[in-house]
Amino acid sequence: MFLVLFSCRKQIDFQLPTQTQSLVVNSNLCADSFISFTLKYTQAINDNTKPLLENNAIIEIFTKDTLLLETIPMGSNGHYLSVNTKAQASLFYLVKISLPGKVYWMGDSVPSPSQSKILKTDSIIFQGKENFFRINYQLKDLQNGLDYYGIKMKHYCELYTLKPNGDKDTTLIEEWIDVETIDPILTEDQNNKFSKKHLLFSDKYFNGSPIIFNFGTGALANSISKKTKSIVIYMEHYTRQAYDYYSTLNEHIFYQNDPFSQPTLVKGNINGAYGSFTGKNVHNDSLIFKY
Amino acid sequence: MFIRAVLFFCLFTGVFGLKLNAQSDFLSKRISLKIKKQTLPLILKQIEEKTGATFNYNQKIIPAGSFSLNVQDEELSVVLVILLQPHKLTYSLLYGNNFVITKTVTKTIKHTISGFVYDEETGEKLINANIYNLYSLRGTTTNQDGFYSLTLDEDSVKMVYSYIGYQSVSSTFLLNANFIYSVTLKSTINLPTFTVTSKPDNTNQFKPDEYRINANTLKKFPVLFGETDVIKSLQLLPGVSAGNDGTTGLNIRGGGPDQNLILLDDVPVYNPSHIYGFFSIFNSDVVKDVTLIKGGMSSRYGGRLSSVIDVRTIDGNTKKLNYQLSLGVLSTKLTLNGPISRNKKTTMVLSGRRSYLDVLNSLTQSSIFSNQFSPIYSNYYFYDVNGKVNHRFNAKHQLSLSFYRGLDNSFTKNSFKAKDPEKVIKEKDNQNLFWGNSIASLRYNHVISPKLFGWFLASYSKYTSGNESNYSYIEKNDTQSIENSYNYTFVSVIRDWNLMYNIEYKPLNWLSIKAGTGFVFHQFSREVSTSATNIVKPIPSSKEAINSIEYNAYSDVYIRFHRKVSATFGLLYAQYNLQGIQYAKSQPRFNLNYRPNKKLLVHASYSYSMQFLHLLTNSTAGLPIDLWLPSTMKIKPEFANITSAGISYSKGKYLYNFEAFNKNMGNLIEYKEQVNYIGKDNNWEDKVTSGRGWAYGLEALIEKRSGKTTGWLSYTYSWNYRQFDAINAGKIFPYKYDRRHNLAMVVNHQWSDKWDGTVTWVYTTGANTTLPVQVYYANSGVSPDNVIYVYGDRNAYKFPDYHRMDVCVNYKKQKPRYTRIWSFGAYNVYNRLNAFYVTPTYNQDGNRTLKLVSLFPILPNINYKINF
Repeated sequence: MFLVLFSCRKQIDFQLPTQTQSLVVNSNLCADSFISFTLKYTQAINDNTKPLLENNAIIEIFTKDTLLLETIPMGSNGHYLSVNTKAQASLFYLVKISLPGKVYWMGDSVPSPSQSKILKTDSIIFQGKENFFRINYQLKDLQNGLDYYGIKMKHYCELYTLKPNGDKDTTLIEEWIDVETIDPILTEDQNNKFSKKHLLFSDKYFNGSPIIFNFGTGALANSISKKTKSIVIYMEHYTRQAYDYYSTLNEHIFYQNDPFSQPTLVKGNINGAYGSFTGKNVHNDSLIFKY
Repeated sequence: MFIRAVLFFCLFTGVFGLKLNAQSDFLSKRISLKIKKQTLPLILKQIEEKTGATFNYNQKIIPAGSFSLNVQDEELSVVLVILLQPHKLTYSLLYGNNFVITKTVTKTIKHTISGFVYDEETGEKLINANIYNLYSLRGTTTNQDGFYSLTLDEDSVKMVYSYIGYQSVSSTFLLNANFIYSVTLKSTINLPTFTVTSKPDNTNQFKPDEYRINANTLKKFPVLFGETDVIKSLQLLPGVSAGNDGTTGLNIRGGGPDQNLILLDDVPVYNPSHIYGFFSIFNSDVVKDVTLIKGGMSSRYGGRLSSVIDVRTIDGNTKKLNYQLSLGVLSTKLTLNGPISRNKKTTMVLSGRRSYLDVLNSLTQSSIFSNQFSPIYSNYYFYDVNGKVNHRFNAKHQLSLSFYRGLDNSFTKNSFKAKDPEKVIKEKDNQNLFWGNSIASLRYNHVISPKLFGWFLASYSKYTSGNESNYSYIEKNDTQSIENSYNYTFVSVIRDWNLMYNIEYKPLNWLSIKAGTGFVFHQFSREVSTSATNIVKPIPSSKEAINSIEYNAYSDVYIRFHRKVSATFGLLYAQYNLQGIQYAKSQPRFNLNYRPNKKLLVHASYSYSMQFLHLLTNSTAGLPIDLWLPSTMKIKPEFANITSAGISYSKGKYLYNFEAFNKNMGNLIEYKEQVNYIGKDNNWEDKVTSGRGWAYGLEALIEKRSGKTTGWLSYTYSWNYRQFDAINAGKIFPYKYDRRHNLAMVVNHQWSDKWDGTVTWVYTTGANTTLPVQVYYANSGVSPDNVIYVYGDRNAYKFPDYHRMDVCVNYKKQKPRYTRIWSFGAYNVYNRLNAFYVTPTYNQDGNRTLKLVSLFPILPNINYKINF
């Protein structure tokens, strides 16, 4: 603490050599959704302009057996959306992105849906927080080797402000909130310390068995100025590549300003480009609050 | 007959301990002469004219022919040896300025004079004190136990005992038998004792690769937060590159901090730092002497590649019980030290130090932050305790038992209690990060014969690091009770049990032998213990221990071939066994010294070293998550070839030392890219990668060793590289602390008996760093546009150059019953913002930029010490 108190900062200029820009692929390979891509380029650390978008790529989507499913000839604002191909659970997709003089290949499967449900909820005191909303949640794991999961919670609430004329102005807010837990299943995975909003874990401690765990939030609001309307719990089932990508991404963000850590690299699955093309299957449960 | 008369006269005038300072002074007269092709009587005549000496000799023993003599500012004793020794002549000082020159007896009888050199005030043994016979200029130094042994011809001798900061003592007597002769030296308050080199003249034992800082010098260094630091003072020496700003990291001649063998009274210390590497564990109040050996290491030292840092603690005051209280900004120290038996043969030292950051912090937190809903309490403390009991049976036998215990503890406590009419809730969540060393040793020294000294050591060293987490939740009402708890502890421990026996044998004046053998049992254990109530326990308790055994035997043979040429040949054989795997290697060491004249020394050394233990670290800050790991089938022992050569020259008050070195290292280990921590994972071997490193450079030291103003200027010009197949795409990259220029200036001035002050200034090329050079945006699942950095080549960028000035002024007041010392100073006097790290951030305009973070601005400090 005393070191933080004493620390001083100043801006500094490094002579950085010009770097070759590399392609960055952000994609969505989610069960029952159209496959989509966003193509951009990396930029120099001291370049504060908007990143360069790539609209001239040709993206081809294949099955595992290289049967062409669809070609997306052009993008808009760097965004490419398939119009025919909805990702299906348990299928593998192969993708080729062609640019003048360069070709990138990538592929991943879409995992099966996770079987999960809310068992019960209650309000407790947790780590000093009164009215902590606790969720008792069950996940039925499949016995097919290691499975990878992530839990996220989205909070929908209404904000009330008074206009000068005395009328009430209502704004709907949606935000990702921390998944708070001390459940050992959710806390003992090395990778879940990097993001409280996106808890990652594997089934190595309960492979093939149903498991019940507790988590919750202290972010619910019920005041004159703010009221929680609903919470949506996302239980996401990932492929190994997706799990690696998200966990290293979270780790990279977590350690970004830590002087004692090694530079953490994000583990993508595209040779010659940054980003990823990884599969997931999302199950969600909504809790509506009525007052 | 004449010789007998002379001897009788010597016995009559100055036998056994009688100080003949007037004669010493006469022999110390300095003269310069340049004589070409003249007879010996004529040369002697000219010396008589220059010095006022009178030479008596028999003309028959004087050789015929013409001779030359060329000496510049040499002492008379040296001039006479240079002139007479080639003709097998010797001299004796009769009385006043009258000398007699006689023929050297060819088949003379030899005798050994041996003993200890003590501090008169405290009874502490003095390490590396100089002992020499003024008549023959044959000399030696005391070893780490204050023992010396010198074999000389049967003749009258004039023994001079000297030690920096102490008044020299000389004794003239007839050496006609083996003598045990111990002396006490009195410290000179008026003379500053601020030096880091052994005295290069008067002894053949000067070691250019070795620097020594005694307690007096150590206490005069400027300090950070009022803590005198043994390790940081070494950072001001040539060939030594510091780690991050303010830390105790030592990178010696291109080696990593784990390659330094750090010994506390001959017992290895695995983590020498407190407070995440900002302070060393060595309590300066009990440190007697620190030696840094960065090249030409004795074969006695094995197991590390780069250097030896040998820290010796005091044995205990034999004269009186002494109390010392020291109050600093960061910690308080209390030391008791003195005799505990009536005959004063048994002494003890007990010293404790504790930080009080936690006490101050708890006061702040309790008044500002603590309330019902935010009862989180974070804190930190460290402590260490040094103890020693020393018993001298007699002049020949001594037994000492010593221990050290230190602990750093960083913890967070979160507790909550609620009570309403319906239920009572108690919740606790405690997190704890801890690390520390425990050391114990039993040492037995014995003088087997005047020529043979032996010591036995049994020691235990343990380094523990780990973390602990305890959670409990209890909810009670009239009908039921819910209790959830989960406890988790991870502890990583390395333990060493060590037995060794060593001898030092000096059969002849030109030959000495050091030899020994040892056995080390290493145990690496990692233990996970968990318990849970009403919660699924995901990790079972487990205990894993890996044992390895190390045998070693060594011998160092020192031979003086000629008055000008000496060499040390060493060989260390070490064998390491772990679960059926065996690594065995002979490690040769070699030192050559050529001394064309008394002021000049040309030297060269070579050593091959092997290191069986590896420190896996992701920084050099000495973090507790650093892990010591054994060599295995996959992870082979590290090794290094080190060569160095140089010239040392002393003139008057000044010493000049210039050296060149080259070091090649193999089987170094590092985390693979993307890996930050092994923790409890068992597959650690897959997370590390092996590679090589090399460093070379030039070093210079200019030291002013005496006068009211003393100090030194050190400079290193070096290169330091690494190459790992799995890091930086296999490309060669500079080591983090590859500092091309490394300059340190240290000046101490003694205004009076009461006031002295020290200024240090360091300038180094900035450390290397790996910087993000590009960015892109990625969707993390909860945020669409996370900035992700693309890093450039490993250590491809340099921080701005580092420079800093520290000052310290000490005021000493001697009272009849106690002494008190006030120290005032400042770290980083001109408030230079030196880089601790560089991080990308956003400026006020919202533009991304790189910011330098500096931890230490100007930090004034004050320290009060009282000594009863």
